[in-house]
Order: sequence, then C-alpha cells, then structure tokens
Amino acid sequence: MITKRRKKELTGWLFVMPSLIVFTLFMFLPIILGFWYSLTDYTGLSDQYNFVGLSNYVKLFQDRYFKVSIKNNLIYAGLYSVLTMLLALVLATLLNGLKRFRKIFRMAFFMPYISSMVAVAIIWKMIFNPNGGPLNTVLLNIGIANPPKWLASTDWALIAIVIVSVWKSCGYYMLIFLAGLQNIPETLYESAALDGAGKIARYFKITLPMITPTIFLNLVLVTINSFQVFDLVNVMTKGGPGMSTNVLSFRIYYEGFKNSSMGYASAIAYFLFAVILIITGFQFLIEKRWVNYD
Amino acid sequence: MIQTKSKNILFYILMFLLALIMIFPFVWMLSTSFKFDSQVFTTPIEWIPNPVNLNNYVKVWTEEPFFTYYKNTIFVAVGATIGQVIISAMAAYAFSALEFRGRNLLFSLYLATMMVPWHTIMIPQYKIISQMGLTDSHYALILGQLASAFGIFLLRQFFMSVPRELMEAARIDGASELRIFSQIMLPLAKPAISTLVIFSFVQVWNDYTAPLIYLNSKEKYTIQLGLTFFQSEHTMQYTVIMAGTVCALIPILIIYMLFEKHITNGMVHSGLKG
Amino acid sequence: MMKKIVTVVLLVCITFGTLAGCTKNGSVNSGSTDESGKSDSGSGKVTINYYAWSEGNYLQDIVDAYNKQSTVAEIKMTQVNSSDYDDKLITMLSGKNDIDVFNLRSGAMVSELAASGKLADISPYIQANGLDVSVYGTGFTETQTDNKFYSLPYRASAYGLFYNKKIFDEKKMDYPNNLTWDEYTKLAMELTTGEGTDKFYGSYIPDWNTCIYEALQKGSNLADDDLTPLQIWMERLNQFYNIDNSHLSYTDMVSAGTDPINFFVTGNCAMYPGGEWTISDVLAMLKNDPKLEETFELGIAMVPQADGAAEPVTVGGVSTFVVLNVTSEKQEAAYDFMQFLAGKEAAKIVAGYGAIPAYIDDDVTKIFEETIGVDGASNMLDLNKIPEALFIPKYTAITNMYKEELELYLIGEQSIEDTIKNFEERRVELSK
Repeated sequence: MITKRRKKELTGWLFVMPSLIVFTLFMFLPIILGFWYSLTDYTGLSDQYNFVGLSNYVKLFQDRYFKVSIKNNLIYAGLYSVLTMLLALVLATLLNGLKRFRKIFRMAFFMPYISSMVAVAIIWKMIFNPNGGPLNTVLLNIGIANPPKWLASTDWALIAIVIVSVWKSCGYYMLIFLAGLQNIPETLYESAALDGAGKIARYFKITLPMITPTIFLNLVLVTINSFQVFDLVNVMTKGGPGMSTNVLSFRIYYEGFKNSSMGYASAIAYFLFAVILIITGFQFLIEKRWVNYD
Repeated sequence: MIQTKSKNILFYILMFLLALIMIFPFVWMLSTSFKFDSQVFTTPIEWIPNPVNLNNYVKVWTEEPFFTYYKNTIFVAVGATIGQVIISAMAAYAFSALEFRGRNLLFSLYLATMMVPWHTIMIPQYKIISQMGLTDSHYALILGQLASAFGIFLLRQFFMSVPRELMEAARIDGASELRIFSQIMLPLAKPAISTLVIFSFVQVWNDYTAPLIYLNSKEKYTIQLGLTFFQSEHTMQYTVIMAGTVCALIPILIIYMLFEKHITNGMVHSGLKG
Repeated sequence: MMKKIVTVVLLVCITFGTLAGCTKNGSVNSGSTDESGKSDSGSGKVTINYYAWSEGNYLQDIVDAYNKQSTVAEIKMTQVNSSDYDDKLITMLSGKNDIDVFNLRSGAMVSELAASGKLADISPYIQANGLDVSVYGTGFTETQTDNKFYSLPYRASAYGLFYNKKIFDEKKMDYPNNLTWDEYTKLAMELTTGEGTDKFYGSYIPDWNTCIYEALQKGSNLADDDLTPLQIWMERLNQFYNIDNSHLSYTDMVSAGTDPINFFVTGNCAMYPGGEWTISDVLAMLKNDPKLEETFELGIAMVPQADGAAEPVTVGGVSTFVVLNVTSEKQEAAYDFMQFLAGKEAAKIVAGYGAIPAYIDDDVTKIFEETIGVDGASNMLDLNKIPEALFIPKYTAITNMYKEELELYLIGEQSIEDTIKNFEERRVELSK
C-alpha cells in the first residue's frame, strides 16, 4: 500500500523525470566534467594532462586581461539589464494600449530578435561608421562637434555593443511582459476607474504590482543573459579595439580554442558562473519581499 | 475632442518611428538581397537597389541544396519545440504545484545550468554525446534543445500565479495530477505556452553552434549551417547570403503570427483606457 | 481522453530518446568502426572520411579525380566553413569521431597536434611508398619532429603585390615593379588623394593580416630574441595607417567592417599586398559582376623587398597540410589519398584554379600562368620563399599575442616601447 505521501512524491518525480534524463546527459555531466578540467592543465587537444589544483584560479587574479574583462562585463551587465528592462516594459505597455495596427507593431518590435546576427552586425557597423555613417552624420547635424568614434574607440565600443544588444533583445523581454500583462483581470481596472483613479494611478497601483512575477522572471533572465553575451561581440568587435569589448565569455572562448588553454578557460568560466550564481541567488532571496503570486 | 485626437496621432507617429528603428536592418537585408556585390558597401547606404538583381535568390536555391536544408531545419525545429513544451511544462508543473523532497534544490540546479558559459561545456558535452553514437544526427540537436532550463523557468513563473484553490478543489474532487495538469493548468497558461513555442522555435531555427558541432553530413545540414557555404576563407557573397537569410525568416514569421494571438486575447488591458 | 493522449505523447518522448541511441549507432560509425580493410561499397574499396574547410572548388575536383582512379579507397569529404573549422576540429578530436584524414592550415597546428598525440606518424608510409619529400623544398623537410613526418603539404602560399592596372593607366604612372619597402611607402602616399567619403587610398593592408613581411625578409620572426626588425615593421605599419594615411586606418577597418577584396576591386585603393588567395577571390568577384572590369584590371608584381636585399625573396612556402588521424583504422588507404593530394595530378588541378600547389614542376607552372592570365603571375611561384610561421607548437599563441599588442599600438593606446616590452614579457610567460 503506497502512502498518500509516497504517492505525492512519486508523482512529482514522474513529472520531472523526462527533463531530468536529458539534463543529466547534456548539462549536468558536462558541467561536472568541465569543472574537473578547470583543476587541470588540459589544453583541449592532448589527452594527457595533469591535475593542478586551484592554480588556474590563482592565475586568474594575476591576469591583466581577466581584470579588464570583469570590468567590461560589469559595465555591460549594468547598462544592458537596466536599459533592456525599461525599454521592454515601456514597449509592452504602449503596445497593450494600442487600438489599431497592434499586430503589425508587435511584429515590428520582435523583428530585431529574429534577425540574423550576420546581417545585424554588418548593418550596425555601417551605422556606427565614424566617417560618414548615418549616426554620426545626424549627430554632427544637431550640433555635436566631435561625435564618438564608436567601434573604433576604446571608450565607446562597449557602449555601441550595449546599444545593439538592447535593440536586439528588447523584443524578447517585451513578449514576456506582454504575456504577463494578460493575466490582469479587466474588472480590477474597471472598479478602480469607478473609484476615480486616473490612468497613471491605475498603472502604478494595479498593473505593476500584478506583473511582479513577470518582472522578476525578466530580471533573472536579463541578468543571466547579460553575463553571457558572446555572439554579438564575436561578430562585431572580436573583443577589440584593444581590450575594450573583451568580455569574459569571449575570453573563455579565446583561451580555450585559440590559445589551447582549456583548463584555464574553464577556470574563467566557473568563476563567471559563481558570479552569476551569487547575483541570481540574491535576487531569489529577496523575491518574497516584492513579488506577489496571489 | 480635438485634443485627444492629435494626442492619438502623435502617439501613432511615435510608435511608427520606433517600429522603423526596429526593422531597418531587416529592410537592409531585403534590399541587399536584390543588389550586386558592388552596391553593398556604398556610403551613403543605398536603400533601393538600382539596378535590381534577382539572381541571388536563384543562386540560393540552385547552388546549394537549400530545399534539403529547409526540410532538415523544419524537422529539428518542430521536434525540438514540441518536445521542449511538453517536458518543460511537466517539469514546471512539478516545481510549482507539486511537492516532493528535493524540489527546490533540483529547481536551483536546473536554473544553474543557464549560468554556465557554453564554451566550457562544449567539449565535455561532445565527448559524452559522441560516446553514445549520437553525432551526425538530428536527434542530438533535438535532445540538446530539450535540456534548456529557460522554458521550465518561464512556465513555472506563470504556473505559480494560477490560484491554488482551483487545483485544491480539483484534488478534493478526486482528479489525478495528470488531469489537473492537462485540463486546468495548461489551458490557463496559454499565453505563457505560446510565448515558449515562439521562443523555442526561433532559438532552434536560428541556432548555429549545435548544428556546426554535431552535424557532419551535408545532407543533414540546417539552413544556418548551409548559408555558410556562401562564405569563402577571406570574403563572402553578401548578396546571396542575405537572400538566403530572407528565405529563412519566413517560417519564423509564420509561427509568430500563428501563436502570437494566443499571447494576447484581444482585450485591451492597461490603465491607458480612458 | 486527455489523459490517454498525454500518456501516449509521454511514451513517445521517452522512446524518442532511447531509439535515437540505438538507431544512430548503426548508421553514424559505418565509416570507421568496420574492421579495417573491409569494404562497404562492394568493390574492395574502403571509405575514408576526409575533413577540410571551405577552401576552393579544387578540393572537390581532386577528390573526384582520386575516386575515379583508386582501387583502394573511396573518399567522402566533409567541408566546414573556414572560420569555424578549427573549433569544430578541436571539439571532434576530443571525443569519438570518424575522421580519417584532415587538413590543417599551418605548420604550427601540425606540430601542436602531433605533440598532443593526435596524429599518426606517416614516415613508415612515406618510406614504403618511396616518396621523395625533397620535392617540397627545405621548408617542409625541416618540419620533422624526432625524424618523423606527420603531414604532407598540398598547398603553398606566396605573397605578392597586387594592383589595379586601370588606376595606374589613368594617372599615367608606371606599374609598380621591384620596389623596396621605402619606395612602396612613398608610392602609396603619392597615390592617395581626397578626403572623407571621397578618399582614395594608395594601398590597403587588412587588419587580420599578421604577416610581418619586412622582418621575415630580413631573416627574423616572432620568436626571435632580437626584436628590432619587428619594431621597424610595426613602426612602418603605423606610418601607413596613422601618419601618411595612405592605407585605410586600423580603426576604420575595424569599425566599418570593410571587406578587403570588395574594397580593392570596387576601386577604393590602387595597391593591395596580400597572399595568393587574393587572385582567386578577385577573379571570382569579377566573374560575379562583370561590370567591374570597366574600372578594374588585376596586375601582379613582386612583393616589396627589404632594403639592401641581395636576392628578391617573398613570404610563403608550404602552407596547408593534410594529416592522418591517429585513431583511424584505415591508415594505409588513407595515406594513399594523402600522397595523391600532395602529388602532381592534384597539383595540376590546384594550379588550374589559380591557387598555388605545394608540388611544383614546369607543367604545373605552365597551367598556373595560363589560368591567371596576368603577367607577373610566375612571380608567385619562382621566387625564393621564407615561411610565414614557424613549425613550433606555441607559434599560434605567439601570433595571437603579437596581434593584440599591435592593435593597441596602432589605435594609439600604447607606445611602441611599451608594445615591444609587453610582447616580450608575454612571450616569456608562455614558455614557462
């Protein structure tokens, strides 16, 4: 006779089982193996390698490229997450309030996300071209004497990457916000309106609190994604000019696949993993304070 | 009132400008697909090609087995999307509505997999998958896509906002978890599931790295991989690649249009209604 | 009803996974897990899996030619996009794979993989087949490690100075010929005209080109203890990009994402020093868009020489290699293909496409000159050549370092003294 409790547990595990199988094969096992490599001097090529303990991790903090990469990542992550969240929320709200052409506008805002990275890189490089590109031409026309050199400048290249990144992914988060906004019952708005609440009051007192689960979801996702940016950097600047757009994920790829230091690359990776874990963990810890699931 | 009308018009103009900013690379892609090589990098940017070159589209479909690539990509994308929705929904249900020991720990582990940089698990994953004989196979791509915690996280958040009372009532009535899952939870979470369908499809469709690593035979290639044959060592046929990319976008747009309406149910929500 | 549907779908999913493991096991490894020597095409021929990157169409022609005449093996070629080839190769070699023979694009990679135990020693096969490797020049015979050969070369490279004849005709100037680097610097400056979007450049050197021409011609290289030749070259680059502005500047190239061949052929610069691949890329672009021939005609001259050079010398030599996977179970048959690829038949095909093969004799040279159809083409084949990269494992990492430090210098973030110092320090770090 299976107790009710056992039955409950069993059901839970049964629902989780299919995903558990694929996850173990494609994620858990490789992750553990990858961590093992970070404790060795594995080159990625040879099958002979030695255990070196934590020396890869110690090496991290003496590597000047590593220090620069962390700084770049933090700047990028900060700017990208804030800008993307704001833009996505604004767009979703605006779209929800549209009466006509809603479908077309929604599709338009989603287009950057589905566009090919190759096309995106080429066209944005042309836009950012410091000599004669559209962006600087406009800036000059509105009176800015020395517009930034964007991808050619070590000061502005990272900002340029942030701009393209926000542009490309806001549609993604916007869609999630849209889905969240649907959960709010119309009746809430109606009774609030009857009570005399104006548009802005309704937005801040009803809409925002009701979508806190969605905000939380997007916040976690945007944080994780902001530390993992790779494709865009690889295609637009390859970490340059100099080291100004050299972010950690690019460093990992470079050390592992171009410099044959796979062990060291893994150490960088697991360090990055720890950083993301701590930040996300923190977000989950304070979740209960502001998210209401009803 | 005249005032609201002009406010409305301004609003629509703003939206239109925003939309323009969002779609201009797509316009450039489209325009380049009709150009000759010499017109691609002109300054200022030539938006309307003159003369028009229709040859690029012909090249895409004749010089490479594009139709095969299309078929392969559809197979992988549909398989992966269906698979991902089903097992993510099941896992999300377990993490949000069911209770079992180790639940929260397991969920954290799943979530943690999203935080590990891809390049560091690339080789370990290949070692394991190749030992199982799954290389050069579409199944490797589909299964790999199923191991994505994003869908589970997304659905769990949405499932958590479904009122517990609904489920409790059903349990008291003697319904099995499977029934509650399929007849109560899933229908209520249509917006979230539609969102996942779109995201999952787009991601698999546009994925380049997994097909690159796991596919060897040209007849199994997906579109993204196939397009790279128009690149040579030091240069690439931009116009042809853009034509191919435009063709590749069509199924995504179709899926988007099909599922997008389930995300919003047509009612106007927000404080903006007067 | 719902329950039944869901249960069925679940079962399908799980079966999916298990079936995938079983069925694919059969069809994937049919190439290499057969007992060695046994055929699977019913004609006594073994299937050899050959991996290459998307070089040129000559590879397919060579494979077809080999398959037609071979009684021993049938080659199945897989080509991967050039910029992703290395990554895919490294990943595949780390796990179970079906690669028998594959290409490598530098001697450094050959020695690295050999040192990592991934390549089969082919010296016994060379001996057994009586292949005389001296035909490939000293550049190749010196690449042995412990008296063992791990590769055969099938392509060579040569750098030349390419130019647009029509530009020189227009300006009524003599075509560039037998220039020294100083003369080239002056000529580039003379040819540069205009400003801003109308600017026309004397010449163009792409940012990804790490060839240290002048230093190599003086007998130096990136692993040299004396870094003076390297410094002179780097300062010359700075002159081109930033002082004379006769070449599209580093920052411009990187920020605007220009495509070099496109830039050159569409008439934005008069000269273009580069490798022999430039020829086939240019010819391909002209074929695609014949209108360009109104304003562009390819000229080939010898690459500029270092001051006081006794004999003209260009950078190049055997550059692309084919190697044998140590885990291959069909080594003899695979070697048969390798030897063909590095031999006369294949060389004639390569030359027919305007690329330079490693095996060169008079017949091959004739085919090459006929294909290019431009005077001076033989310049690419005849001259003495210095290899661009050393055959040592760490050379790729050293080249990467050089490129990083050079970039910082050329965009003005670092002085030349600091650049040399950093480069030296990092090199020392590497050899630890």
